[in-house]
Amino acid sequence: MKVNKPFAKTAMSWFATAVLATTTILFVTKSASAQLKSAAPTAAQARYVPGEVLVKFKADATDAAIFSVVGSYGDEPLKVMKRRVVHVKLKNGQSVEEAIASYQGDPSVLRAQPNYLYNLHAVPNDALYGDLWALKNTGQTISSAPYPINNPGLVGMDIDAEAAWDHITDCSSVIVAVLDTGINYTHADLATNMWDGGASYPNHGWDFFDADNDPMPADGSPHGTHVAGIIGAVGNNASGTTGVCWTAKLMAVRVGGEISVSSAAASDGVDFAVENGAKVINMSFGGPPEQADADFYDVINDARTKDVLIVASAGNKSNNNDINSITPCTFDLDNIICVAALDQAYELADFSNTGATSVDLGAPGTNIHSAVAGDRLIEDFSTGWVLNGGWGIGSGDYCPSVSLVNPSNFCTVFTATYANNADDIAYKTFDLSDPAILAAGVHSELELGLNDANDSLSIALNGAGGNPFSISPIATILGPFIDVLPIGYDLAKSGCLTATCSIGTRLQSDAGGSHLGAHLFGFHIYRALVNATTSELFDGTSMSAPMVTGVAALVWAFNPNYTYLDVAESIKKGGDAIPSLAGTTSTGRALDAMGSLRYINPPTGISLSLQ
Amino acid sequence: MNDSSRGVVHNFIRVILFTLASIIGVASILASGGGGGGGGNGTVTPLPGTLQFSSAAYSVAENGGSINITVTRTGGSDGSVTVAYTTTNGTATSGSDYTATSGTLTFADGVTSQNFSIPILNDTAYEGDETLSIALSNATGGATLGTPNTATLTITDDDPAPLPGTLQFSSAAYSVAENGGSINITVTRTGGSAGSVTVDYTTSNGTATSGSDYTATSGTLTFTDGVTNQSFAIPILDDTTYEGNETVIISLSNVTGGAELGTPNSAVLTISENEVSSIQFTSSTYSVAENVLLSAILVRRSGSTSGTTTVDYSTSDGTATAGSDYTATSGTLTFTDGEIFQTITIPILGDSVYEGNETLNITLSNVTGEASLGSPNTAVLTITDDDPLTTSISVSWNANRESAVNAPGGGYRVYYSTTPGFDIATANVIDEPYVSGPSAHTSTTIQLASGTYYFKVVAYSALNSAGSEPSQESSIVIP
Repeated sequence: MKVNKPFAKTAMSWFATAVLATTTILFVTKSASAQLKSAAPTAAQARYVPGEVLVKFKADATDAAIFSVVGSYGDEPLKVMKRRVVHVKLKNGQSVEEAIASYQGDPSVLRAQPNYLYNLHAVPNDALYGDLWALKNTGQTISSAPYPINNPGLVGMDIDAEAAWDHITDCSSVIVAVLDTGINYTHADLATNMWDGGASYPNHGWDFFDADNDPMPADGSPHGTHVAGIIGAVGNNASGTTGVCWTAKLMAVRVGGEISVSSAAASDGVDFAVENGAKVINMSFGGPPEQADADFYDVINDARTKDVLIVASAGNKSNNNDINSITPCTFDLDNIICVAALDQAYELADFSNTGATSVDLGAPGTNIHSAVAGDRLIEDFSTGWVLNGGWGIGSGDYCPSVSLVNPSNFCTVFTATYANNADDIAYKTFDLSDPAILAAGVHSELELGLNDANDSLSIALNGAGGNPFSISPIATILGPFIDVLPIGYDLAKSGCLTATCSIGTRLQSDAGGSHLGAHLFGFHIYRALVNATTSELFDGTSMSAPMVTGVAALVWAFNPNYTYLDVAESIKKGGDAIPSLAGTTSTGRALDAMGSLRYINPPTGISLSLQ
Repeated sequence: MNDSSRGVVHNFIRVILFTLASIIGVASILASGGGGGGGGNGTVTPLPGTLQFSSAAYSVAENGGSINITVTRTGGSDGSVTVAYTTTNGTATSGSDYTATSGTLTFADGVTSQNFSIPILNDTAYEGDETLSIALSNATGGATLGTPNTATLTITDDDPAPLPGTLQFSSAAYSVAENGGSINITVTRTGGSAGSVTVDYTTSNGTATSGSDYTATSGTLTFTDGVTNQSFAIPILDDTTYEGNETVIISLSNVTGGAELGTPNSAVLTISENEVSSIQFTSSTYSVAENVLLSAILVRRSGSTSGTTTVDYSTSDGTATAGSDYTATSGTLTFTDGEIFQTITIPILGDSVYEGNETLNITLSNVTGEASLGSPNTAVLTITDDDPLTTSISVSWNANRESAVNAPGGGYRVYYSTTPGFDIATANVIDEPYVSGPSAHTSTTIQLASGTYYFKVVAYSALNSAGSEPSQESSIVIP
């Protein structure tokens, strides 16, 4: 543990998606033709058909003789198959075992056996299953992939989910808390797998970020919903994606927005989850190296004493977490599993943090297809913008895409600066009146250079439309400042779910010097939609952690007597040794669901005595 | 003696002649005598008479003591006359049968008869009647010897007459071993042994065959006078074939010499088989080590090895238990012609637990063919324990929490070795599979000899038959 700096209750940077995500994540709509294999087995416990046996008669047995023998037992020959095997329907009340014993004793019979039921090797019928390389890597190419490396990857480089599903697909005995940006619990692929909080928690969890009972992603963030879908999107429902757990109990604990999560909310969220029976808590977030959070440590340690397992993401900055500690990944607690990201060839994802001692294992984290809260309106700055002063729509060498800029030559002139004594406003009015919109948020990347404290950039939202700065701005950034940062604002909270939601920005300066100005790009509005069926491809260790969380839930459901440490050991030691993880993680292994189910702890407490 | 014999013959002839004369010429003799006497009628001429025996023949019992012989004086008794008498041996012998007697009888005037006595000597021997002669002579006084002047005295024997007897076998049954060489058969003569008698004997086949089992024998036995036993021999022929006992009939016939055929006059001679074939164990005790897969028990046919013989065998528990220590075995052994040995094979079931030596019983029974159940026909097979004397060790461990370990297909393997840090791949192992209930067994018991042992436990499941990594190693010292 490296608690070497006081924790400031400021935002932790959000791992949700890699830095390219906002520009490359696209809506993905797959046809239902993706992978329509046969239905998954029912009643996995029944290993053979009751009331039926297969009897192999000797080669010289005639049909007449066969019918005579079968009839003599009061049974009914359903069919004489090839090789003198007869499919026999037993008389009522006859057990398969008794019948086999009887037939085995018949001189005309070579052998008798149950009519075995084979596991259809559990393959779900979800429409997007074919895209889920992490569960079954067929070497498929992921369309519109945000992560271009190793797409397609290598056949078999997956978490071996199908083998595990032969044994268990139901994690509903294990409550999984998703501490995240909230879950669209109305999502068609999640609704039936949400935790039932009863009258106290009618919305399947709690929102510690906004301090209310509704963990719906208020800023429309797709992140928490995506994570939840990886863990427990309803499996084999012929639509959407497939969770590691086909059935689950997902507890939605909102502890942040798309931009950040607070320490206080995360701590409260862990306590809430533990108190309400969660056994596994997914934390696809982490604080920067300088944030060592003693309070949060204590909360997770308390969870440990209550037999709760934490799965955390390693981070997406290609850092070595052994050197640059990440909260909570690098907390020195054995109830935390910290997860790095692998690509489709089980190479370490280029963005993934590592840590030979602090990062435990790797799991798929690129081009991960999962549910999202709804859709997003991507702003291309082509129409509707009211531009005053130095604002303009530009593109060029210094802008990765068409952007809203001030000065207007920001994209083409390296030395361009905003004007002195400026008070420039730009805004656009959006229609967010659709009643299907449960929540929405405006998000953008902002590259900003301000000269001094007399210069500022403000953001304003106004549901009444027109110049949004007719009311107070929602945020103002003062100079001196030079950075690129994400911004995001909850539109519902600002009364902006209207047909006239104006969103604007204002650059103000004095006469005393200038700087490079403002560059907004990746501007979009997330909309959480009722009964959403949407899904997206995301990259990030945020996606890797819920893979592990899902397997943890499977393992725990399969082994009800397990402790958190048993689950953690089975995951760490049941993984596949992967070259790319050797030396970059403590186990050198990649997540393997079947390997985790197979894993057996060495017996303990060996006691010897003379008798 | 010749004289005596001649004399007897002479007298005999004379008796005959005299007799003939008495029958044919009495008248003339009388006439002649009358003529002579008539001539004296005219004058008184003394008539001294004639002297003769009162009879020509006398008889006396051997035990009669003596006999008085009367001499009569006929034809006148004038004057005193004398006559001499004497005895002469006939078949009787003086001194043993009678006392020789002689003397002179004097007839005084007018005496017409006088006696003398001959002593008879008794014995117990049967000699038959014997005779002696007595004769008168030397008449004086004018007497003349009349007729008869010789007589025969018969001494009648009072002893029982001797018999030739009856001839028979000394027994109705005889027995001889096949390899006895020969047997003497005795014929006895009883009820008298007088005279020489003969009897014929012969053999005939009963179940035995002459020429291969014995030599046909026949002949004549002669019993001379007084001989009461005779015997003849029957040669017995040995072979190497088991035939069982066989019989020969022997018979007597054709008795001569006045003897009679007694009983038994036929007998059975039994030639007893010497080719004794028996089936038995070669020992009454056998031993086999527990770690040997099969124990071979030898059964031997002794004596004749010809022919086919079978014997049944079976095992039974002693202190060993069929099914865990050995496999119960039974069957039939067949000795074909010439075979001496057969083997009973008993599978031995080894284990690694020290139980001490244990035993089982093997029994032979029901011999068929030309053999008998010999001895020993029961044997004890000891299974010697190859496991060291052991101590019972209890091994226990904490229950694993994996559901699949505590379900069908799951369980634990306990590995142990005398080597610290051992590799489980080469160690001893005891499997404790899940059986039923909520969890697999978490303990087991092992029998181990003294030493230091190291243990590791592996848990396994239907999902993971290879199992967990081994537990930490524990050790125990067994004194």
